[in-house]
Amino acid sequence: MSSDTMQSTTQRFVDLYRGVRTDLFGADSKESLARRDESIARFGELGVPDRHNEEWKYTNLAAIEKLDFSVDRAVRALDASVIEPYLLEGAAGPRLVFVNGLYSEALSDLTGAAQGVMVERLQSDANLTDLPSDLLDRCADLGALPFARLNTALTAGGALIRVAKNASCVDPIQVLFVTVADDAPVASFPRVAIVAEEGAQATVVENHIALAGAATFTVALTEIQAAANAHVDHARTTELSEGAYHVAAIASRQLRDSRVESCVVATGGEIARHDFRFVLDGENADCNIRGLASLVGDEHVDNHLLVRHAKPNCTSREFFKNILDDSSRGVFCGRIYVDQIAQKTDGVQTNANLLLSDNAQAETRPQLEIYADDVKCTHGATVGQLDEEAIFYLRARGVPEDEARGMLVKGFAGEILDEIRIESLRDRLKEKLFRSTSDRSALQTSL
Amino acid sequence: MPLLEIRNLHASVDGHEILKGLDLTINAGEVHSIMGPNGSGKSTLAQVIAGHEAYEVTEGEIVFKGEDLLDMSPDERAGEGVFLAFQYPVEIPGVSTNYFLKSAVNAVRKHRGQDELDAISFMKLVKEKTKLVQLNEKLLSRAVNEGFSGGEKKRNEIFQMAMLDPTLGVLDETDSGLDIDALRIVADGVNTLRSEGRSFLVITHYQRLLDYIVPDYVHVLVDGRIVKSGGKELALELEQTGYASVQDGAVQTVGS
Repeated sequence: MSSDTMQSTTQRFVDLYRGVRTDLFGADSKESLARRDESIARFGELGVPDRHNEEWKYTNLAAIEKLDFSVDRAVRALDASVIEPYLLEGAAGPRLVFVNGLYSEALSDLTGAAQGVMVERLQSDANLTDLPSDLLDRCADLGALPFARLNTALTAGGALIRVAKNASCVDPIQVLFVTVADDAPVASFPRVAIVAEEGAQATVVENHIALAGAATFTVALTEIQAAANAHVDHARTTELSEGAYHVAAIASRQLRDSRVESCVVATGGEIARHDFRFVLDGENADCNIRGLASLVGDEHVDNHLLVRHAKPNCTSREFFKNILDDSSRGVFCGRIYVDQIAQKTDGVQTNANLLLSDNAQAETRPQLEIYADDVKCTHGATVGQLDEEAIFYLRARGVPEDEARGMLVKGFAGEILDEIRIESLRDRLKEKLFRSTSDRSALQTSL
Repeated sequence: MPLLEIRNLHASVDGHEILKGLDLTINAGEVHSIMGPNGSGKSTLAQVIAGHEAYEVTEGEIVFKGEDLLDMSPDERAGEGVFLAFQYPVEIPGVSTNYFLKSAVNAVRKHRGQDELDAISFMKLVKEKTKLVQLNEKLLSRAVNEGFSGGEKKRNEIFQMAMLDPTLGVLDETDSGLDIDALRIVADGVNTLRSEGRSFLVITHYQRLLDYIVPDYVHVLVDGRIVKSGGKELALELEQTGYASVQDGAVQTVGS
């Protein structure tokens, strides 16, 4: 184990695994157990990183060291009204709901899948004896991410969405993960796999909600595979409460002429960390990743990206924005990596930060690593405050100050949110961000 | 009662005094023009009237419709009927003109005790007022002033003025950056808005604009004070003799 890790915390997760090992789904399969064993061993080697680890320099997980997490062995009952606000309005597609990582039959609805769309829940009594073996390790570099390894070892539930060749699911499939802890801290390990076969189209919305209560720790993993000409539209939200820690890996591998769009919105919680590993592994593939975090208090969001252009003529766009109020912190560390053979790569990466308070902080490190000689790649980062001249302009036209500020914040967020095609999700997120902004303004005015 | 009365106005920015005892009175329905060399304080006057916080008023007062204007926030001033057409309209990414303007129109209507406009009445008003300055309605779905040409920005200002129906329109170098055709369109728009109940303060460096928007009174601002006032012929005189000739001129008051 390397020195820049939290050894006792690492050991506690290894012990946690030993305790539940034979109860997890796929335990009947030797192959599956071997994969989990191998993953926990690798996790043990990599360890829970501390801040001496370069990749975790700005995100301190020390708080979880003091927490003694357990995992749920049976799915908790949850009132339907709790998840209602998060459901997509009028969506005909299936909905899978998980509570602390375990599939909830009562809250889910598997009907409504379009022809050629297979939605399979991963759980202990599922027919699946194994995680889909063609998925893991097909996405880049997941092996080096300790928490991706931990997820593979400990996952007790999730969704596998497979869209058959040339089939199309336009109505979004919703996968909703709720974490809740009454008095003792709870950990969960949700898993999502999206497989779009040749020419298929998949639309998936993934929501991670943490309810108020004791501490929760979510270690999530999402894998996307887009075959030739496939199109995956993926939106993911983390909407956390105080005491919630969320660490996720989002990996994608694309073949020729495929397109993957992923929009990742984060708000609330203690820490949300997203590691993106996207590989463009076929010519003319195109990926578009957008991220937005809106934070108050001591909230902390860290987006780490690696987009690898492994074949020629691919396009990638990564646009990330943070709205940072109070003493919140936004971290962005992005890298476009261009293989030597990946000529005619077209890559753009930007990170923009809006600081609404003197105590908010943004760390931004956009990077390029290019081994081909005929590429067009740019990157950029900005850190700024609301434009006071713009506020004056709006006020001089009669718009009250609070509303003017809210309008500018909404405008800043809109450049990301407006790209979400699912209307009810887009409107809900806008409403949520805008409301919290005006609440903040109201609070400031009253102080 | 005059619409606007400025008495002994002193204003500073970053500790530098720009306005040094300015007096100006505008009655309902009058068009006044303020001319002056660069740095004389023309734009400062416009910003102070609109309520920009970077400008500190150290002495004097501004009374608008009998009320203390300096006591009001910029949005309250807009509600009361003050409109500033900016010399450099600000670009606001991510906020569409339509969305912003609907909020603005309804905010001032609310302030004036009028009912808010619904989407249909708002669009009807937009249609009517865009014609005034030949502004392409499609521009309004774009972010405020973003990707607008210089001329479009200025026409957008006058369009917004028409939408907000002020009692005092302050035009800050609206002619700058306009070619002769655009200038004519903007001036025609302003002239259409002239009425007994609406006054204008037209700030300009050049006499050219005043060929199209003919003022009732012309004032010359030099070093933070009005040094000469007269009728529209004063503008022509200045065009021939330059500002140097009036630097030492006697202070006159008009319009009261």
